Amino acid sequence: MFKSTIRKLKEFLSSFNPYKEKATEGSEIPLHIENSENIIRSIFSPINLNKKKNTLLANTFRPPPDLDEISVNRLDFTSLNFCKKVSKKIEQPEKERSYFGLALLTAQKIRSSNSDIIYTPKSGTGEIYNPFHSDIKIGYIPQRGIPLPAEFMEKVQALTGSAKLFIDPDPTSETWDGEDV
Amino acid sequence: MDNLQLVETTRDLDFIRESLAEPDFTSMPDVKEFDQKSKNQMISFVMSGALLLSMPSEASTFEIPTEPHGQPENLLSFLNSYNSKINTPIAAYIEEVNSISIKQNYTKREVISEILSFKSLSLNWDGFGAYPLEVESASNALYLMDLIGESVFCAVDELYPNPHGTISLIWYNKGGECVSVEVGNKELSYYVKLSSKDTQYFNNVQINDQEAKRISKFIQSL
Amino acid sequence: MFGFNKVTHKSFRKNFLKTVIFQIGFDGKIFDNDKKNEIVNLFKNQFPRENKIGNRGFQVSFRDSQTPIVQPIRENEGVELKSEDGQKILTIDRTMLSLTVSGVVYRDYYSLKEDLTKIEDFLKLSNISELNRIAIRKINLVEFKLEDNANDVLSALINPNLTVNQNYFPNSEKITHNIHSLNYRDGDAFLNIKYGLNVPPNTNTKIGQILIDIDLYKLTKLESSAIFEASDEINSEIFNVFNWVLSNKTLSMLNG
Repeated sequence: MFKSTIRKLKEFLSSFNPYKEKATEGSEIPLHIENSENIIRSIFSPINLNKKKNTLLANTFRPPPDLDEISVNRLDFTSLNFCKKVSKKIEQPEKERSYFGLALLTAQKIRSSNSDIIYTPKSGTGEIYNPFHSDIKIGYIPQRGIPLPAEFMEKVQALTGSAKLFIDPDPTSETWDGEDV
Repeated sequence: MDNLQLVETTRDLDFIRESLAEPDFTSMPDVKEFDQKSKNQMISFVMSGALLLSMPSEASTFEIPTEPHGQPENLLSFLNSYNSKINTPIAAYIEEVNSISIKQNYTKREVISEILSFKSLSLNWDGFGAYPLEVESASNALYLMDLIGESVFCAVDELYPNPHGTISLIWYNKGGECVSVEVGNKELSYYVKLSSKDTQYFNNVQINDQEAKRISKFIQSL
Repeated sequence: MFGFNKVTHKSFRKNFLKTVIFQIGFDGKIFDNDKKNEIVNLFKNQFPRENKIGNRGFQVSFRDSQTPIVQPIRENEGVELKSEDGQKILTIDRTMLSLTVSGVVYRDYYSLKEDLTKIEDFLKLSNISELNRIAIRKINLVEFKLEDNANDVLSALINPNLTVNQNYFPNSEKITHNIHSLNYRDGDAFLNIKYGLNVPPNTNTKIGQILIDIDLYKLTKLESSAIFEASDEINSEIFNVFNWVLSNKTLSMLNG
């Protein structure tokens, strides 16, 4: 609850300075990700969702082809508004990928699923500026058209099971007005 | 309520309510007494005849009092009682029968439609560089459905594309047990998680009749 | 028991059984983790899979008016065990034990009794010497491809005395449910019979089902040592009812 209050205060203060979220050379953000840290993954509809139950599908936590990187953000050093902004930058509603909400899990849950998470900030050169960016690594690089080994399928499923989905009540707005995460 | 047919009756609403609560056919005044043979038996409630439930909003024929003291609130109470004691249990029973005979989350047509829709996703459909479903993977998934059989396959709970062009199929039950299959261009992988048992993993599996039978058996054991 | 003609019991070569349920009830017993572990151990050879109950929400148990197909139980108040192939489910809680067997593996009543060989050990383990309920329910479903008039199939498979009025229904090919329900009571013995036509929704191929659901239970004090004597009697009567419901044509189909 204390952390949540601090976060809200940060968001309030940052509303006066549009550049406040830009960390100076990562000075505020430690390299190591503590187990207790909250991690956010962007969720898109319909592709990440079981339509009938509005629950997460395990492709939410699958790495892209030829990489072992599942892009996430370190919520404890940023805001839900920022996470939403970054998500909306990569949505493509005309191609059936609409921002839907955010999935939350802790670094602890990631590591206890036998995966890891490392801090990989995006500098902004040729890519979206995101000093809070990190990657979950499952320990396997998927190749095009080849199924994941069953053990890694289970790992991805476990990650998905650990995540909690927060549906954005107003995906079109600029700010997060949903449930407090 | 347009189909409601009112029938003249001398019975008052309380009597009907009691009859529905504790049906006792023999106590109705215009029913013949049972003969000696059936003296030891008592049909407590008989409900025979066709129940046309194709449109639940269609009212069945039943009796309500026509006396002045059948006030709206009594009528509502009677209808609620009818609904909870007769109509709803019938519908619930039919649903129960359907649930034990058919567990189908998708029709075959819907499965094919979903798979084709994954094939027609654009490149980068997830925003992180994903490929659309590969043609061979799609075709293998449909072949697997043929081998396993519609009735088992269409009980699939989740069906979705993966960023590297394969397709995943998951069957699970309320107890947390599952069969999870990933179909690729040439082969498939799957794991089976059953309570109180070690998870079984199967990799580099050829898509053939024998393997399909094994997967089908696992699915049916959920 | 209820006046149905007695038929010498035999096993049919074929069956249309979908589910068979055997259930006994007893006065509430303590059900803690120790008890649960003992029960799991007792039945682990036949039922090695223990299902997590989790929070499924509380479902109303209809045990006093109908035998449930799978007894709903609350988390931490019972245990649900499955056979290796998942076709048999054993559910035990504070007040009842229920065995549900899928028609796919059900052979006959005698094999059902074999599945229950450990039941006496369970009763001893739980200090249960007296039962207050014993039930058997058998649900038969005859599935057929729906081509013309499903209601005609009903008339063919069910005893014509029970379907004598079918010609009176207009547009009978449009009937989706034609289910008849009888409830008998003889003292503390109850018999629920449902038979008729069901056309399930949203199937890949249009199918119809003829349903014969016979549920017979006794709400009576019964020595646990007399459990199989009582269940033998119930099973015999169910067999009598089953023969009563069917047409001769169906009986000859079952005899193969």
